[in-house]
Amino acid sequence: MSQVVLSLGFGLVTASILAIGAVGFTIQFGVTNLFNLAYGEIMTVAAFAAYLARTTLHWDMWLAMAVGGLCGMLVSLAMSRCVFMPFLQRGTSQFAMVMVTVAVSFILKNVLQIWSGANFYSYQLPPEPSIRFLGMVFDARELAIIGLAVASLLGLHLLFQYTRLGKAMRATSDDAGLARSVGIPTSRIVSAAWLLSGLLAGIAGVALAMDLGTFDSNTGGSFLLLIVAAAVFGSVGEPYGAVLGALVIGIASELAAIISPTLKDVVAFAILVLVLLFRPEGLRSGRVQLRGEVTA
Amino acid sequence: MKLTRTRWLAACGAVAAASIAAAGCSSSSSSSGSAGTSGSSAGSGGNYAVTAGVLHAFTGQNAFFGLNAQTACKAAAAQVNAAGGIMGHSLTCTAFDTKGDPADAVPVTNRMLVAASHLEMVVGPDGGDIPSVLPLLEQAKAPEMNTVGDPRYDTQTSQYFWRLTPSDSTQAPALAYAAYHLGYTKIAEVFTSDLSSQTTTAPFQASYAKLGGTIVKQLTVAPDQASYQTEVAAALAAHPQAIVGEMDARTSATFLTELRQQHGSLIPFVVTQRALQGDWAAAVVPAIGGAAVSKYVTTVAPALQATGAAFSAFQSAMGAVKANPFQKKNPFVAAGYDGVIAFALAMDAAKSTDGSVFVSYIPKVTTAGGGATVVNTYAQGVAALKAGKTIQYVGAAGAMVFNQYNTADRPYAEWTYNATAHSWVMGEQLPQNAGQ
Repeated sequence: MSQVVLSLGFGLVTASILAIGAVGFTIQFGVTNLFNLAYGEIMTVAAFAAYLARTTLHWDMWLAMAVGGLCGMLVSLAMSRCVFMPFLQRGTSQFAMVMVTVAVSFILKNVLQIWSGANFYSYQLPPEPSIRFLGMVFDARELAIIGLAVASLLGLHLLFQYTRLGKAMRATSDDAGLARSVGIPTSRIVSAAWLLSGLLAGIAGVALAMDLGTFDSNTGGSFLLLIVAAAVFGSVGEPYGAVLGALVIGIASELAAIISPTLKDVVAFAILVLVLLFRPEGLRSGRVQLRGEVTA
Repeated sequence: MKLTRTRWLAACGAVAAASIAAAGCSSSSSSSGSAGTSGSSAGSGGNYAVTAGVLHAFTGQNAFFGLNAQTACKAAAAQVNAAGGIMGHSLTCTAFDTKGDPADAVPVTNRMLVAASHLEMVVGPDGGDIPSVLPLLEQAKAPEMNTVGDPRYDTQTSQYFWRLTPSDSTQAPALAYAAYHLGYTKIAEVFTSDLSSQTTTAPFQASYAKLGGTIVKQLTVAPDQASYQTEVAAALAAHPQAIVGEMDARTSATFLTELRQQHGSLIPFVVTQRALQGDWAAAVVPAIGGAAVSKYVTTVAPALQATGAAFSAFQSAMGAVKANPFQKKNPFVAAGYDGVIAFALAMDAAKSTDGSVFVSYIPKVTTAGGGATVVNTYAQGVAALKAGKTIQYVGAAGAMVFNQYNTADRPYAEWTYNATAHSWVMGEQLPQNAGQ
């Protein structure tokens, strides 16, 4: 029993990182309808930006994380404006756009690899004392990551429910044409979605690099599959579903490790397959309408 | 002059026809030689450069394999060329990047076999690529030297396959021996689920049990996970004196970081030669600190000569090619360097650069006994051969005694990390056949 409780706690940390990343991925998809497979590389760029802030400017880790988030925003917006937008303006199909995102992912990954020399990097954080809580064990940084995830998700909830921007995002996500016809500046809303998505990707990337202890040019990309799984699990384009997906995948994979560590991904993806078998559009299907076109 | 469309097409056609004809010529000549273009006897074929194809990953996560192998080859080539080359032919090392991907490795190998001029030896491939690439090299009769640990090649019978470092099946008993003799009689065994780690697991368990040790927890972990907290908790719950096993760089960094977090400090970690590969310390040292690696981590890897003429020649050659400090003290780099020199000496002894001829001379220039003169450098070897002597080349990595399956059985040693010098330092050498 104690092992199960321990693993539940460990799963919460992974799920928190996954939730931040998956919500960022799904917000951008919900508004633009573009399945961005270069999202993992935004996380990696942010991790490197935070590394530079921490090692060259000697900034505090949390301030470095803010730099990572800011960098994620800029990369995400630049990616959408400089690469994806020109394709969309030429009427590129949705499938072709996915391939464009794959190409961008490869380019970014290789540029990062050349720049970083295929080396590993670490924020070199000192060890923190363990904190025991309800049979679970955390350190202060892990608790902070969980807190950050909760705060981010609460902030997003408030944004979507109570602000004009959030409501406009929801409207654009539901029907961009209709939103435009009632005066919502969808182009700006799309840019805001890319910025918000980049911010969350950046925070998730830095949190992941902190949690791993070390990172390289492949780190974000290797985590992308879990992020996409969490997003698809909870209905892609649906932020609350992505949180649910992150919790299930993060915790299930840690619990599976009690039986056999090699079952981690097996169990997580088996649950995903089962959910999709019975609810093809994910657990929170119905709210987001999957569209045939990408919103620019 | 502006070409018309018809002339343009005709010109393209002529170029294409010429290319096909050239390829056909190249192909037909390759079938008569060893590896492609050029097997030849001494005195024939004019003044050409002999090519060593360095077939490794030069990009991607395993890029360090290629960089180390290329450095080893270049250092050996510098020695060979300084001594007048192989029967007057200079030796050059040409890199062929497999990207560490078996699918990419096949076309790259084909390109090397067709395009490399006078390709007489291949340095590589590495463990991930060898299953897909070896049949091509065999078909082309290209002698190749590798440092692959996979025990599936323990009883291979090809005359073109030469393994310069011991198999994982001998590494596992050495690991068990080292762990037990370091005083760890109750250990948790942690290996990653990849092939290279899994080939060590069963022989390790058998050897450790035979020595009288107890494995209190066995864990096989999937590499590159976001967290190993549950696995760490399971290992610690069994109260081991040490953790013994093999994990890649990133997995080790995350696992050890989380181990330190849960336990409050690290516990001893005895790891295979994987830790000596270029990326391991680069990933783990920043994560847990050089002092912690130095204090808690012991690596069991092939031994390296630390003094003598071979060591001096190796250091000098490494300096000449501007090798980094890590490469200068790496037994795998030394083994690669020795392999290239042994192949070159075999060509000299056979008086031929043809792979199908000189391969039978490789054991003849590396085996002791029968009045063989021990030589430590290429120049010494050539001089002794010219004097009509039989030779045994003992290089930077020590004697290279090949068994009947062309695997060099070498002794192992315990290596520890020097945080000040940022390099691994060889400690006590284990007895030959330790733990077996």
